[in-house]
Amino acid sequence: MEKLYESQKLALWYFWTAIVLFGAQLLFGLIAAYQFINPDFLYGTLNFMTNRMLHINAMVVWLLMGFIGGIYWFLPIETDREVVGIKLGKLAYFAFVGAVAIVVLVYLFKQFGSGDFFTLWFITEGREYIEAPRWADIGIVAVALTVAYNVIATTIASKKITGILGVLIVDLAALFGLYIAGMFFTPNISVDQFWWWWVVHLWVEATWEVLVGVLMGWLLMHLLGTPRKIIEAWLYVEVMLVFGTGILGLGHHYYWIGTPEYWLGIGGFFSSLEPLPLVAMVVHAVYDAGVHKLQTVNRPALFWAFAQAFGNLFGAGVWGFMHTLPQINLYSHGTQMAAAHGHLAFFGAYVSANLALFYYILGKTRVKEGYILNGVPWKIAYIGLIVGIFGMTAALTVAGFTQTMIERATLGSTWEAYIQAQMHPWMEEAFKWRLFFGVVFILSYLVLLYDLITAGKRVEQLKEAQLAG
Amino acid sequence: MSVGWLEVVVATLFLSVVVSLVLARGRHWLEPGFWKVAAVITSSVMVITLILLSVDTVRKVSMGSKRVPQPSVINREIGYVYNPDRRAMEPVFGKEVGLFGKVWSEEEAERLIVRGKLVIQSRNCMDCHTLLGNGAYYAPDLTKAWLDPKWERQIMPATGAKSKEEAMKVFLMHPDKYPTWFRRMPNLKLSEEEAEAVIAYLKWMSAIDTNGFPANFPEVKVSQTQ
Amino acid sequence: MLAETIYKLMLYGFLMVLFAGAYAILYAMGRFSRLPSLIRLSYIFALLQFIAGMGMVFNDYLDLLWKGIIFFSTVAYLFIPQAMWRVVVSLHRRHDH
Repeated sequence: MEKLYESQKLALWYFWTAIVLFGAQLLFGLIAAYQFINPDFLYGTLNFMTNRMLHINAMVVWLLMGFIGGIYWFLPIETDREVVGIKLGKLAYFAFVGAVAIVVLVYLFKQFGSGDFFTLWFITEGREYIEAPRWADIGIVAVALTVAYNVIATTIASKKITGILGVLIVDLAALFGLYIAGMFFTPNISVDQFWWWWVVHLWVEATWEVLVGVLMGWLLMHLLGTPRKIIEAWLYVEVMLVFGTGILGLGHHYYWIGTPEYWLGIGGFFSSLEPLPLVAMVVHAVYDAGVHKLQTVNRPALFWAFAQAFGNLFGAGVWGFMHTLPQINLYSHGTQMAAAHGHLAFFGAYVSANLALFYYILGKTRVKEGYILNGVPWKIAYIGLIVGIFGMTAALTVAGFTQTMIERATLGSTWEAYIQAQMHPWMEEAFKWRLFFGVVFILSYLVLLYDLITAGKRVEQLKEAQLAG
Repeated sequence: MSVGWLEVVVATLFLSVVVSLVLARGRHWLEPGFWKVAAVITSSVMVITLILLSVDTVRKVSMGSKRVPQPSVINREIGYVYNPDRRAMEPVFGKEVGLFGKVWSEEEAERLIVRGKLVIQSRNCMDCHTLLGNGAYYAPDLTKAWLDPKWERQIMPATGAKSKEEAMKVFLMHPDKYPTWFRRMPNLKLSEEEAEAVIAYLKWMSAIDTNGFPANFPEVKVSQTQ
Repeated sequence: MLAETIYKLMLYGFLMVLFAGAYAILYAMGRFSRLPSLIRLSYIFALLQFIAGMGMVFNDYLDLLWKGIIFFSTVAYLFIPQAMWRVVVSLHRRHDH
């Protein structure tokens, strides 16, 4: 095995931290899901609002950490040199982890504060996904700037800029810059939510998609030997399609927040077109799978890469399209329909990508040349996680349909209508099944964790390479 | 400025395709360079369009605009009725009735609204409730909470309060004492002044024109007496 | 009834993209493995996708413009897999060493 660059060692730190936070995400998700069934559980001690906040914040942070790890892994390979300023990068890692730890402890033990700016600066900002207190926001920006500096300075020092690096740099600038759009207070909720969606949507439906495109591009290039020109052409096509539909597709969040009616048309039009490129891209994924006959030195990485292509299509494309038209969304907005779509989309687009990357990196660090990373536990985890997420999504879809039809379309969207729909047998069953599949998911995560820790270390997994060419 | 959305859509798509094709002249369509041009042009057209639309939108949702009222609207009766021309429900405003027994000046109302938003953010309301439909789904949407029939029907009798806003205040300060079903709101230690600010905020928020969300809501006409 | 109308629209929308995805995957698999039976199977999903799309188009809840957008999508989905296959093959033929 080759000696690792310092940057690649940092990548490993990021990935291990990410996996631990993934576990934290699941733990708090499990508690929250249980509270739907038994609302008295930890009532007054650890309320739903705190569990949910920890669930979604852990998710955002671990996915980002995984992406940053992927950047640190591939950057020295792409530039053929050690990363410039890597010591600063490592310092930023410790600052990041320290900040996350403090924020989590405050969430857990303080939970909320009085209605003033002190609370927003040091306890919580109370805005979904970006609840992190302002001091931590500044810390995140500092970490982000360090990562950007590492990428840009190393690129400059290598004296050439590949197409992939070009896309990465522009995308990182946008990604990190957008975070700042959420760092302000306004009493006007329409303005608040307008800019908030610039962060959330243009992250997960634009800049994160392109970042994953870059990382998966590097993965396929190094794992499958796909020629650079194909990766580049494909990456540019993806940027064109994702930004082409996603930037104005942002309008599908501007139907009901007080913003003008033209967003109903613009948002609805572009987001109803969003699945078309996803259907197209899956053809390429099948081609790649076929060309390599699913054979490679690293089966889990390959399989998770395919899960990414298909998961993106189903979670984002299918479930997203179902409720994107404004005529429908008027009734499904703010229901479990959004949760159903969100869970599958995030798993398909981002969790799969991170797991593919992590397995790839583990393969490079643990498996000798000429041997295959394979085995049984990763397959169990793979099937279990996919079954788990589809089960949760199906249950939440039933809940979403129920809420849309009963609370909104029939009973008039009032407080009482909400209660009636929540008490409906379909709803109650849906939450039970969601919890069941959540348990399946978390057990599969434990198998995954076991496999990640032991992958490549057990002799019986290693076989002689039998790849044809 | 009235922007026709279909024109915007057609223009952005047309520009992206045409400018890309012009600038990518001479490059083979199977070469990365061709798609690099398409990616840069398409992204730029879309981003510029978004920025222009955002400037227009932010102006149209500033406080005191047609869509988002100024804070002193909390002094007025607020209703929600179906408009057949728009095919959507919209807020309507009635006579001056004050809030908590007084008429608030514009500055006082603004201070209340600012405080209300700070309280809402400090207590993480969005991680159980939805506001304008965004948030978590563990508790009801609060967009039209001010107009919800439950306050008069259930909470006023339960708390013995003499007005809707007093009932709301008692509820918000001790939600654990007034469960409406088996999922209870936790006590978030709201002071009386914080509770009043939140209620003012909910009243103000219910006056925003949300293009008819939530739909199907029981109409509240402003001549209606409580 | 409104609830039923909304439910049907959501269901047809869901099925349309689901079947379009299935069509694309099966078509690509069929072309790759040179299995005409798989390609024929994929065409069944193409047809199902079209029918689901028509379910949305013929729903009176949508006005003409939106019916048009959905109709355009459902027709586009019929041709995307074939077009993409040709693009992918050409791309690889040109750049694979």
